[in-house]
Amino acid sequence: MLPVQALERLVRANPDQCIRGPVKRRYNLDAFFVDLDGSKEVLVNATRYYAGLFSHRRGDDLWKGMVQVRFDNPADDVAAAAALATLGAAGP
Amino acid sequence: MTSLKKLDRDRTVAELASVESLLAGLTEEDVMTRLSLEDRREELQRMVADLAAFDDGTASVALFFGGKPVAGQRGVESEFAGTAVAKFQDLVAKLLVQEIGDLGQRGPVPNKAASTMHITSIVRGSFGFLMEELQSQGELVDTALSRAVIDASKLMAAFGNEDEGAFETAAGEVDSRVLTTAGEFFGLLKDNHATLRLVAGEHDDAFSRHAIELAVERAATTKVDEDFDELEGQLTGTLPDGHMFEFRNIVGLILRGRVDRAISADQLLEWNLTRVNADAKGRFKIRRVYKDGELVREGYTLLGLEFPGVQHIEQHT
Repeated sequence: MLPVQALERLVRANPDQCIRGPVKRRYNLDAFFVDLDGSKEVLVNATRYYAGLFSHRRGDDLWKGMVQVRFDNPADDVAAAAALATLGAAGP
Repeated sequence: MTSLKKLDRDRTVAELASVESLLAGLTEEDVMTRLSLEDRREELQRMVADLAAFDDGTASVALFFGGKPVAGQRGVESEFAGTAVAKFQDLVAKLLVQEIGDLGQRGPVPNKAASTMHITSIVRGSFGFLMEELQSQGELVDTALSRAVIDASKLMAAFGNEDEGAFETAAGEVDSRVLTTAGEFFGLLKDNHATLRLVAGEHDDAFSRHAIELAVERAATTKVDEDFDELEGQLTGTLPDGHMFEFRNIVGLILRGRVDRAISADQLLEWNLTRVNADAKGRFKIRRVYKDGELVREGYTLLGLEFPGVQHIEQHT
């Protein structure tokens, strides 16, 4: 596991991959990152919040959802890239 | 702020509070979680600011129904919903006429088309409708219809409020036909075992079955009589923006109330500057509120003022 300071340096050095705003602009992807090695209570709390954020939206009846993509499997990367390409083609 | 915008803002503010709470609980190990949530916090703050800035002044109200006529979030009985929406529209029409002039004791409501609102959306959270004024009049201030909708929500809140004094005050400011229509609206809710949440502008009021029964009982036992009278005394001041007045009669009693909308805010300002404490004759509409036949409140609306030997009569009947 990386020390905290080193992790923060790594994240800030790679904003297009690790920070929500730049990721959203570059990949059209609303990415929230979670520290699996962080506080366990925070992990539970964040899961509760994200489950609410990415589920049914009452105001306009929009259903959302979450997908799980492993970062260490190149086959997942290919499938994810293909899915994103489809979204890009169909999007505004 | 429109009703839907208010609901959006309430949801956004609630989410912002959740994110703030999450951020407050983070440890220094939660590096990536913190960066993501800080970004979301900034986004939500921008959304709240944008929602607060957007207000075109047009009328908007959301009516949410609950209870027996409602099947969860799936639907509401059409006959009940249609009648309730029509009754609410009727209440707004009568308040609009009161806002811009006098509502007769009986007969058609004048210029009813001006009060027309449209059902523009179904809103979730029990089951309800969003009703809006479609054409913006391009004004930066609230439209007359918007004020009438807010008046309707205030009146209905007063009907369901345990505070008897607040209800009597509200009843003393409206015409008897308005009171009757509000009573019919609550009667419809009671007969159908329905509940209501009403969101208009910044007002957000929930009416439980108890509140609805209280409103129906008040409608049945409260009567408002209207009368006109001329009183001598002195104007002690006005609130031009609030369209309110204070007038001291010849026995020193201070009368307070609304000023008829036909008298302009500029006129009120001028009276403040030049006519305060000058001898005057005021023409008033007096609304007397009776509870079980007993007089409980008098409400005054200033229709005009005459300053003997100084100025012509400014009056509107």
